Amino acid sequence: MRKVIALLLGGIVCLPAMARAEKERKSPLTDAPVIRKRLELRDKRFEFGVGAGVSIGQDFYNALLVMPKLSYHFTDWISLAGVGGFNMTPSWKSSFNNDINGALPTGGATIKSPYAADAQATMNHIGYVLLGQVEFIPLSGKIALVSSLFSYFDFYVLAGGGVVNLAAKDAMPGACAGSPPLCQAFTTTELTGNAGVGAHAFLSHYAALNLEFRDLIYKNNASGRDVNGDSVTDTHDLQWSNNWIFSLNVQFFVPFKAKISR
Amino acid sequence: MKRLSLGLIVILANLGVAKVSLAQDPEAAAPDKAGGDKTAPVDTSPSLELDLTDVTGSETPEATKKPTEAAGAPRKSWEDIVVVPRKAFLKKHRLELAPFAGITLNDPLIRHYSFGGDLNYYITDVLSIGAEGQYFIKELSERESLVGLQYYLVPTLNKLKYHYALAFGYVPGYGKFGLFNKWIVHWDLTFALGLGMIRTEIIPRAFGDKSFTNDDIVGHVGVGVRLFVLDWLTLSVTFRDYMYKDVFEFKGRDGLVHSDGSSASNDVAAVKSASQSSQSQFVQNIMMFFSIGLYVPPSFSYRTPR
Repeated sequence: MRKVIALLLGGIVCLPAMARAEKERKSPLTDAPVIRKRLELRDKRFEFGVGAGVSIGQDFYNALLVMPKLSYHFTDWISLAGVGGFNMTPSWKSSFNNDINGALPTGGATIKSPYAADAQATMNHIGYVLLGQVEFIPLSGKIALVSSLFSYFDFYVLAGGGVVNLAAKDAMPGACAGSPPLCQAFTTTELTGNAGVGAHAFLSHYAALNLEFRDLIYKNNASGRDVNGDSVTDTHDLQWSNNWIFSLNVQFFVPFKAKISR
Repeated sequence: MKRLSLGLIVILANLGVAKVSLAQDPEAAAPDKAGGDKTAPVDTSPSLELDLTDVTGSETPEATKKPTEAAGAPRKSWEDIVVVPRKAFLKKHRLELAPFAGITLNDPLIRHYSFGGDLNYYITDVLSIGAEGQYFIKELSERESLVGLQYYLVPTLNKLKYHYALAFGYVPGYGKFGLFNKWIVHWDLTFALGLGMIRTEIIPRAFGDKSFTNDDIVGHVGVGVRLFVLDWLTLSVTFRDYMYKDVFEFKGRDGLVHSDGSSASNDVAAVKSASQSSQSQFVQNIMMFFSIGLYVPPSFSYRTPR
């Protein structure tokens, strides 16, 4: 009987202790960040620089843009940026433009096809873009190149808006005259959406290469001619267009020294 | 009474053992948690993977001093544990089967969707040799449909049918990212170089005209990013530029005649011959692919000591 009482007593005393032991059995790594002593290369830093951008898949004119960029990183993973893009090559024709130009008559009798010069006049191109964007940086880390060069990297997504200026050689050539006109270049400064992805490859604690691939989404009538089949050219001929731009910048960060995380 | 005393002594002894175990368990559990995968040891040896010692900020001396200060003291938290994980994914002597879907990017008039696969064998961890094949589905763009309305012209276009090639792969870089500083994502950078054959077919400008096909030698270069998900599974995004000389429909097809003066506009051989002599053009197709990589054998083991 005494043996039974002793075992029961032992059980009662042991149970809470065992329960507590289970509860306190917690790895010291439980709340650890995945990377320690990490360089916080963006946190509370300004970023500025300039680079070049190139349009991809434009209908009539490709654009090579000079692209200054200024941004402020509120934390290591979110920032606000302003980007400009100024077209340095307004006459850089796409291969499709060359094909059209080569196929259209340059003079003489034409029944329906426009003359090449008139068609060229109303094709628009990017003049400049001014963009604002929020950058969200979920991924940051390091890369080893050929096992000997190391670089800090980050990937981000960007979204925002801005304006795009569209220009053309001659907004209303004589052959387009009419009311409403038969054709007219769409030359204006238009609101645009801005979405894309980007990456920084850090050359040092204060300098980085910055790649961005963005889509400018705006309404356009790149040819300046009838689109909806009503034989005139007006705002009803505008269509949403995707305009891809790839850019490469050299960016600098201030303060020049980056913080190090715990 | 003796038995009761003995029982109480056993209970107290048990409690003591339980407390000692409790004090030791977290340290024993540390490698599992810290490594994040089966290969992650606790290690303080220098490694390119960690390479945190190149941090030259003002806090570095403090950081390096800390372990010394902590020597002999009981470990309290994650700050006292150093972890150097190994390369997360080994490819050497493994076969990769990667089904993919792709899209052409640089033609405003015609878009092609592609479905196919890569089969690569990794000779080393960074070099591979393999084959790729894909089938294309065409889609004419809205711009193509407007050419007729706006310029009274019909574009001369070819559609892609299929492509196959031998390809060499090289992995110039690999890295890892902290996702929200909570999860590690391992990835690498891939380059590809290939040579193969592409079959294209003209889209006749005039409805009812017969078409012909071309078999063109095509070279390609590619660059991509691969994320490692499991020991046998990866996800990739790749850009490839396919370069070849293609033959388009002869512009003067309507007026093409045989030597006897009869019309040759529907004589495919004559049209193709005329096209080859005057309508050959260098073409670049830039494509983007998404692929899933499946690896055989599905697991790997490290051959070097920790």
